[in-house]
Amino acid sequence: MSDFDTYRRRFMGGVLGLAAAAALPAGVLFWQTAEGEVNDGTPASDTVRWGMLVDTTKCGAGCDACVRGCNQENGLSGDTSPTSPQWIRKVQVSNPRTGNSFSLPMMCQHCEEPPCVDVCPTGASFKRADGIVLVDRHLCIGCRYCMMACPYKARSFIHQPVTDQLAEVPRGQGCVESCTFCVQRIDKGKRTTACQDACNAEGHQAIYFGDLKDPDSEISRRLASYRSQEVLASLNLHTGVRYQGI
Amino acid sequence: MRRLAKEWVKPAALGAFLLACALTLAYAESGVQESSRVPKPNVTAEKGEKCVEDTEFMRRNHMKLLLQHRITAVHEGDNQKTDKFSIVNCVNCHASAKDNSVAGPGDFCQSCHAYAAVKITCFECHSSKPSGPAPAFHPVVSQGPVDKASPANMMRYQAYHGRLPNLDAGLNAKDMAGVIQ
Amino acid sequence: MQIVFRQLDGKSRGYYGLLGGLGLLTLIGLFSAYQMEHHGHIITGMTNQVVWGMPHVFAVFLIVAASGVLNVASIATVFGKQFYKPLAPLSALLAIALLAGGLMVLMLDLGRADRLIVAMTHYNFKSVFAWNVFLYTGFFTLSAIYIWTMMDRKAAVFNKPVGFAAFFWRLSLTTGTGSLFGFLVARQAYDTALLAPMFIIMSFCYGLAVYLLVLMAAFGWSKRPFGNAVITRLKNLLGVFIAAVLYFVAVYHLTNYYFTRQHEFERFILLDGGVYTLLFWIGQILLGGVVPLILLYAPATRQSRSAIASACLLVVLGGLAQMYVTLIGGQAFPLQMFPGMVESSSFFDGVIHPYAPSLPETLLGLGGVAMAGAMVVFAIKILRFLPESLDDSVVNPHHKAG
Repeated sequence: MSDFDTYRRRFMGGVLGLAAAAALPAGVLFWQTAEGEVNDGTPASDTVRWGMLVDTTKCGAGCDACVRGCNQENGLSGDTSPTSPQWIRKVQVSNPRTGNSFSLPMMCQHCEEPPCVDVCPTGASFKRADGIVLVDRHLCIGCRYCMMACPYKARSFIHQPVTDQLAEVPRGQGCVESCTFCVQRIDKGKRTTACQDACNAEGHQAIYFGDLKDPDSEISRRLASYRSQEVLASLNLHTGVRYQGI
Repeated sequence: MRRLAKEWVKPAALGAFLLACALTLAYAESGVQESSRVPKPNVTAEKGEKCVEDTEFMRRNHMKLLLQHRITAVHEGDNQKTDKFSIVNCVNCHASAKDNSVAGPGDFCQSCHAYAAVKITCFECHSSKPSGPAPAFHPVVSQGPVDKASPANMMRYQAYHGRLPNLDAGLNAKDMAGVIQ
Repeated sequence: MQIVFRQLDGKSRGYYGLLGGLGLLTLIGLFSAYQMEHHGHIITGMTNQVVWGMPHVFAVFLIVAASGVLNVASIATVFGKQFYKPLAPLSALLAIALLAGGLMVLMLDLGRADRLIVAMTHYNFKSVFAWNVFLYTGFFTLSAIYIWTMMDRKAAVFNKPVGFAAFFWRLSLTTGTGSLFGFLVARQAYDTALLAPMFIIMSFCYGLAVYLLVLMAAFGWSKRPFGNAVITRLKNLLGVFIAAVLYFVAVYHLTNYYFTRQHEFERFILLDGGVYTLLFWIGQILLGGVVPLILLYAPATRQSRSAIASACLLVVLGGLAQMYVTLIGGQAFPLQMFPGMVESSSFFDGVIHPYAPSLPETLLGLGGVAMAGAMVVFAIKILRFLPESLDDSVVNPHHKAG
């Protein structure tokens, strides 16, 4: 081995050693910023499971009050271009053979076994203890895999910078979002979602929101009395949103 | 001897260059010269008597608080009105009078972070503008009868009450409660 | 006769022109990524309905080809065919370069590419995507070590174990890539266990086509001797892989078509899907399968180098067409939330989702290809990846001239 080769090897060794030495404080810094102890308020718990019942027999075909209510509550623009987020939409369904048709609002179904949670590489898509399926936008890298995985196409991607977001509903470019069961209201103690309020304001009373684990809640009593179905029930996702009359 | 000296010319030149760089940086940091390019941070709060923690603690740990709190807020839920460390409450107090934001040029968050050259991405998603009435735990400061309908006061009024005041009815202290002069 | 490896001279105008051109294309791709980062994905053709577009077509193709191109080295090491040994270093280099190109496109297309450190530190181990992060980085490491065992005589003793490890690792990697789609129950195009082995056999096919193209180009342009023995073996192997891919595609569609509930989707792909039908029949089947098979085996063309090179190029183009049909066609077909019913909404339920590739996303995809190419062109100049000669007398000691 020539002198130059020896010199080269020593140089490379020195550079690598230096790089390793520099990586150590950087690694400690990263680890440190991840630590910290802050606790406030009572956390969401699994003694509750939020769910929704939609009575499609009361759902008007041309009515989209729930959509407008959601847009207003969450600061959405209400655009319906292919790149605009829609957290809830009215779907018109008709049977080509019988001629029967109905409409229903479709939003994130807050499944008990969400496919979007299974496929998210960083764990940003997660199910909270109280059953609400959310996107932790701090962790979301915008890969859109959850959008591929959702059987209800419930998720939307934000395709451009957002500057007019509401303080209660942070949302920004590059992350995926979907219906949150108005979590910002639920956490403050409110027990109705914006879509429910809007539907009631129109007088249709088609949407019921409540605690599925509380047998005395209105939704539980209705679910026990009337037949209801999940959309794509065969997938066994045990959705939190159930429909009457589909 | 001469050959040895020749071999050391290049490393010596490199070393001298690096030393010069290091000294320049150190000299720049020493503050002997006031750099006029980056303005000093503007650490103000428009509302509230004091912050939820003392200044030194906040200076050192606000990042840790935010990083930890955001995890608990998203995964365990948080009541934005009552949770001490909710970013919504930080913004409510620290939003500047002039553009009702914490992220505009010269505003609270932005000025410190520009000075420290640490880019923050919080306000790509979080609103940099205050929302709704003052947080529950901040003492409301009344400055006595208020009759100055300045644009800044009007903006603050609107931020708190969700509408502009009825100036014909006159402003009173109760209306302007929470709005600092 | 000992095979000697030698770096490319790499001083010709053609070499610098190629490297410069690939470098420029890479820079253009990076600039497109910057524009997407700055303005958001609104400048691309991807929407809330078709969420993965041209970048993913290129990226998945590159990743699949990357794992397949290592096949040549595996045949030498794992299956003990000495004939392939001189071909192995280039194979491992291409594996690293293609994977790097594919990953570059994938990572730059992320909505929040600045959060890559989050993706590196937070893992949801139920997600195939998360497993792929490990599989890809492990593949880089193993391939690099593999190259080391091939080039450093002292490390040659590790060649077989590392070769085996790389072989099984890349089978896992391709299974993971295929399962990215196969595990999705939501879409009618996916949701099948067949996708994983289909991706594996496709990786063999596309990888070998890329390998043969690069080998022919490298030897042809550097005027190194390249005998028929190597080409014949490789092209025959490529023909087998093409036939295997056609078989898997046939089984996939036949099975799908057997299920009544999949009829509409199969009609869409095979009959009235417009661009997807065209790309399937003409791109994937005809140009990507039937024509290359004819070129590779017909007596008139099977000896012709240009015919073989054309066949390889067609396989690559057919592979890109297949990725387009699988990825984008699979997303274009609407979700069936109410089977048998007609759906309509403001969110494009019940209609074929429109998609048109835009310039930024296509340039990003091409930039990834260019980066892979630039890496290979650069590497073969600085390290000894290419044999000095692949003449028949060199590779086959029992060859008799004439």
